[in-house]
Amino acid sequence: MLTIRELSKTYDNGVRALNRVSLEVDKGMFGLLGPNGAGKSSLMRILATLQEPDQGTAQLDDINILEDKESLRRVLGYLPQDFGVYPKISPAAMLDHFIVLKGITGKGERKEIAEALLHQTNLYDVRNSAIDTFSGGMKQRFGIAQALIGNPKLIIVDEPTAGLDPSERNRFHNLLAEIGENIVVILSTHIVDDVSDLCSSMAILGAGEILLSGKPRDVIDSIRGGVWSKKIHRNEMQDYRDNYRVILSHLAEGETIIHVLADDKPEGFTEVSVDLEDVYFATLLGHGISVSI
Amino acid sequence: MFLDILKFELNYHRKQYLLYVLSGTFFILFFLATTSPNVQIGDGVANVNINSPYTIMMVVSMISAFSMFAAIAFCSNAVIRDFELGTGGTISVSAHKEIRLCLRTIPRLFTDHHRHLC
Repeated sequence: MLTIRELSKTYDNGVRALNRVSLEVDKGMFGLLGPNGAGKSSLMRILATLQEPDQGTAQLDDINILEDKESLRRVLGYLPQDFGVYPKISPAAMLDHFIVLKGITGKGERKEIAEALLHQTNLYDVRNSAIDTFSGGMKQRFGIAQALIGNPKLIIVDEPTAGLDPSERNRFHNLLAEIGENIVVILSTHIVDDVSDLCSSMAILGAGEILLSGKPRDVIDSIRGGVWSKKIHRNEMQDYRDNYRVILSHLAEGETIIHVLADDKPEGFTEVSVDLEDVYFATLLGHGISVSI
Repeated sequence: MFLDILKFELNYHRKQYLLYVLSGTFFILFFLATTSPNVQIGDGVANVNINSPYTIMMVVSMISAFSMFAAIAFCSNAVIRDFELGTGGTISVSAHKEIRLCLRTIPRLFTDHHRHLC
């Protein structure tokens, strides 16, 4: 179990990335949702021991993450946001390199681990082709393979599905769901569907603070019956924005549909079945964080 | 462990253009210097034979001097590689203690550079 207490981080240029963030994360997939610049990556990088917070503590079971980095790294798998690979190197060779870096030196053992991981991530057939020719999805799957070396207890994946096409994203989700059963997996994303598809618990991070945390079903229940939708003309948007609490708008067959937050049914609106996206935007709006809708 | 990493590095450099470009440049430069009268290394004024010990020494010392530049190219490649390719994060998280100590010879390169970046 991962426990984070009062973690704060302010950068030298005055940007306050994290402001007293506290979280408890159990085994399973944990989704960290937030708009760009909310502090997700900062939090991920602190947990991955790549950055120091200004204050606060973080603990994984009995390992103090901030003080005993070496112990944490032995049980950590990390897939960063801008995961890169060396050009013209095959996945088999690159994976072998990572395995050596992790301190596993037996030749047979290394080969066994590499093959198992390549099979698991479905890259075995392309194990000898150059890794920099891979598609985005394959690269991310390779990223997961290297994160799984050495049976980690904590896996951190930072915006892994950005830029993947739907089928590759689906494949990646299946892979994550498979590994997320027995260990702590923290998934940061700005894509709401990632969280609603995969995660058993979640938190919404905005402007460096935890705005909401809980199980997706519970947080959806919390605003159930309070969200209403209406089809409007695009020009009327500003009027509605002035008069209602518009949480999101999307297009359907060329027409604009807005969702608004209200206790009682407003005139001309129909009730919608609330999903995580409504919760996400309602939470951001409730805390005065503007997202373009 | 050290040998495994060395092997990976050699294999890596074997596949990059830099090695071939530099090898080619050196070969052509000094091949022409010894074969063509138009390309000359060292002072051509001295009244010595083209295969005299003096001339050979001159050429070899010029090769050494030029190879400094090649060495810099390889070193800078190693230094900026993980910044450029975005592999820094995964490498620093992966590398365990012994390797980290080993790599400290190039101070803080693989371990803490993110702190300075941010």
